Amino acid sequence: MLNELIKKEFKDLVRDPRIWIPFIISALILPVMGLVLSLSMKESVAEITSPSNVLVNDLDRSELTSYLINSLRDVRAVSKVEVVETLDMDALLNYASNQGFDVVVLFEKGFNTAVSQNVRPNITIIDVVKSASFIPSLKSTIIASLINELLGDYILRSYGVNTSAYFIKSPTNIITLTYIATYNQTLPGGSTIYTQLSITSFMLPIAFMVITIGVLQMAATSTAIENEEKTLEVLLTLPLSRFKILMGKLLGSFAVALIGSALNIAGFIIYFYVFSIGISSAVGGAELTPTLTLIQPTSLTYLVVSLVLASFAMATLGVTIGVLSSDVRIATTVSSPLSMLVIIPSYYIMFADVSKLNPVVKSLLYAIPFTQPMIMSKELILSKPDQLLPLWLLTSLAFSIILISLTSRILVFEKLVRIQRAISRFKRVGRT
Amino acid sequence: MENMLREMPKHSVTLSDVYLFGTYIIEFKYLCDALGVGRVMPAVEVRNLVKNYGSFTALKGISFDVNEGEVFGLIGPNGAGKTTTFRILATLLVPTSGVVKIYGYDVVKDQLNVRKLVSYLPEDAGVYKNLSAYEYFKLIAKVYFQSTYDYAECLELGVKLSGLGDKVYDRMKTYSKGMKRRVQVARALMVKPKIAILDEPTAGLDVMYSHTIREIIKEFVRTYKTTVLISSHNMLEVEGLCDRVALISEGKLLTEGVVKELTAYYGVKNLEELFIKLVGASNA
Repeated sequence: MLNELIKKEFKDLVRDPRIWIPFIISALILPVMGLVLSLSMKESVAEITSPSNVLVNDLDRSELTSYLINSLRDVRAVSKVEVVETLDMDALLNYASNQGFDVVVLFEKGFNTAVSQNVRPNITIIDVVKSASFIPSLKSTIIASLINELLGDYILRSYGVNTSAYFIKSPTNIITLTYIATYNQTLPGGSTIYTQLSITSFMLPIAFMVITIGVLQMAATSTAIENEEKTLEVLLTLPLSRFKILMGKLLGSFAVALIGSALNIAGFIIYFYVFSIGISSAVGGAELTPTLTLIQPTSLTYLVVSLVLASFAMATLGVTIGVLSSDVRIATTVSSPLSMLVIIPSYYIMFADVSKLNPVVKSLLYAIPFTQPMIMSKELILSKPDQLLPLWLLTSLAFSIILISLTSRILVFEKLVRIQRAISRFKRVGRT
Repeated sequence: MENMLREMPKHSVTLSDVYLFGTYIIEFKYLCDALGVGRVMPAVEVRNLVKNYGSFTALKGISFDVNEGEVFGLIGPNGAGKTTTFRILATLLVPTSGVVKIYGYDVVKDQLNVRKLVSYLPEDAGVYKNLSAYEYFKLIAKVYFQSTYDYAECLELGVKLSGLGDKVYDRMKTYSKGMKRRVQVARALMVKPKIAILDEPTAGLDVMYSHTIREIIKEFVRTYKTTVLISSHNMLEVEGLCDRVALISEGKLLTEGVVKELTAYYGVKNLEELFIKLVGASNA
C-alpha cells in the first residue's frame, strides 16, 4: 500500500510545473551565470593586461627623467606617453581622465639630484579609475615596476656594471607546481590551482545550500496543499496507519526532490566548467584541471551520501511544516525563517577556515544534517576524509528518523487542528 | 407406539402451569435484554456526546441513533456542530466525553475497524489536481481491497458513479467544481461502505449537479442498502433524501424523528418551517 501512496505523491508533484520551474530555472541559469561571470572576468583581465596610456608630469626636466620617459615609450606594456609640466594637480587629473590616460606619473623637482646623491627619489603614480571592476587595476603597479627596472639599469650602467636590474632582482627562473598532499598529486601552475580549489570550496556550500532549501520549500508547499484542499482530511479517514500516510508523502516528495537536486547539481557542474574555461582563456590559456575531478572518489561518495541524507532530512522537515500549516501561505511563512537556520551556518562555513574551527562547533556543524554537506564539501576538497565521517552520516540519518517518529505522532487530525489554530492565532497576533 | 401412548399418564394443563410458563418467558426476556441478545444494534450510536475546543463547547451532550440502511439527516445552522459530529464519527476528532459507536465499535478505541466501515466526504473536499480521477480511484480501491476481483469491481463502480466518461482519465485540475464533487462522492461510495458520511455533498453546486448527486446517493442507497448520514442546508434536499432527521443548534439536539411525524407534531408545513421555528426559538 505504501507503494501506491508514494506513486500518488510522486505523480502529483512531478506533474506540477510549479515544482519543476525552480529546479529547471536553476539548472539553466547556473551555466548562463558561469558564462556571464567568466566573460566579465575575461574582459576585466583583458583590460588590466592591455598596454597603458601614460601621462607624465615632469617637474624635474632632467636628462634622467627624459631617459626614463623615452625608455617607457619603447616598452610593449605602454602604448602612449605624453609629457606635461604643471603644478595644478586637479587640471592634470582632469586632463588625464578626459584624454583616456590610465596612469599618471609625477617626477618631482630634484629627482635627478637625489639619484646622483644615492638618495631614493619620490615618484608619485596615480591610477586613473573610470569604473568599478571585480579585479583591482594593476596598471600603476606595472608602470612602477617598469620605472624601477629602467632606473636600476641606468644606475648599474653609471657604475659600469654590464647587466640588467631585472637579472639582479630575479636571478633564477622559477617553475611553480602545486603538490596536493591529500591526493599525492602534483599539478602545473602555482596559485592558479589553489585559487581554483578555493573558489570551489567556496561555491560548493552555496550549491548545497540552494539544493537543500529547495527541497524544504517543495516538501512544505506540497504538504500544505493537501491541508488546504482537505485531501489530507480524506487520507486520514482511510483505513491506513498514520506512519504509512507520512512515509508515502515523504518518500514521494523525496524522490521528486532527488531528481530536482540532480538537475541543480548538473547546473552547478556546468557552471564550474564554463567558469573554469572562461578563467583559463582569460589568463592566456593556462591549463586548468576541472576541480571536481581532483576530489577523491571516497570523498565524493561521502559528499553525495551526505547530500542525499540532508535532502531527506529537509524533506522530512518540509513535510512536518506542511502538515502543521493549514494553507500554503503559512507553510511559506514558517519555512522561510527556518531556511535561515541553513543559510546563516552556510555563510559561516563559506568564509571560515574549517580546519581551525572550535571542535565543538565543528562537531555540531557535522552532526546537523542541514549543515553537514556544506562543511564536508569545504573540508574534503583539500583534506582526506575524517574517520568520524560515517558516524556523522549516521547522526544525520538518526535526525531524520527522530523527526519522522515525532511527525507521525502528530499526524492525528485532532492534534493538527489544535496546532494549526495555535499557529494561525500566533500569525494574527504578529500582524496586529 | 400406540401402546406407549396408552401407557403415558394423562395430564391436564392447569392455570398455574400457564402462570409458571409466563414467568419463565418474562425471566428469559429479562435475561436476553441483559445480555443484549435479540436486540437490533443501531448502525450508529451517539450518547451524551460533548466536544470542547479549548474553552469553547461545540457539542453539549447530543444523543441519537441511526439504524442500518437508514438515510439520516443532520441539519442545523452554521456552527451548530454538524461537521464536528461527523468528524468524530469518522475518527478524525476525539470526543471530550460521551460514547460514539459504529456497529458496536468505539470510535476512540477501535479506530481502524471504524475506518474500515465508514467512508467520509468532508465539506469542500478538494482533489489531487495533477492526478486523473481514474488514478485517484485506483489508489482508493487499493487501500480497501486486496483481491484483484474486488479491486476491479470497486474501480469500475467508482468510474460509473463519477459519470465522467472519458474525462475520468484527464487530470482533475481540468474539472469543474461539480465534476470534482462528483469525483469525491464517487470516491466515498465506491468502496461500498457500511456507513457513508456526507458533509454537505451539494454545497456550492448548481441545480443540475446537485440533482445528479442526489440521484447518485438515492440510487446507491437503494442498491447497496448503505447507511447514510448527510448534512445539508437545503431542506428540500433533506426531505427528499432522508428517512429521519436530527436538528441541532449551538451543540444541542433540538429534535429528532421522521420528517412527516416532526412536521405534524410541531404543526408546520415543511422542514424549513420546522428549522426556522425551532432554531429561532433556541436562539431567542
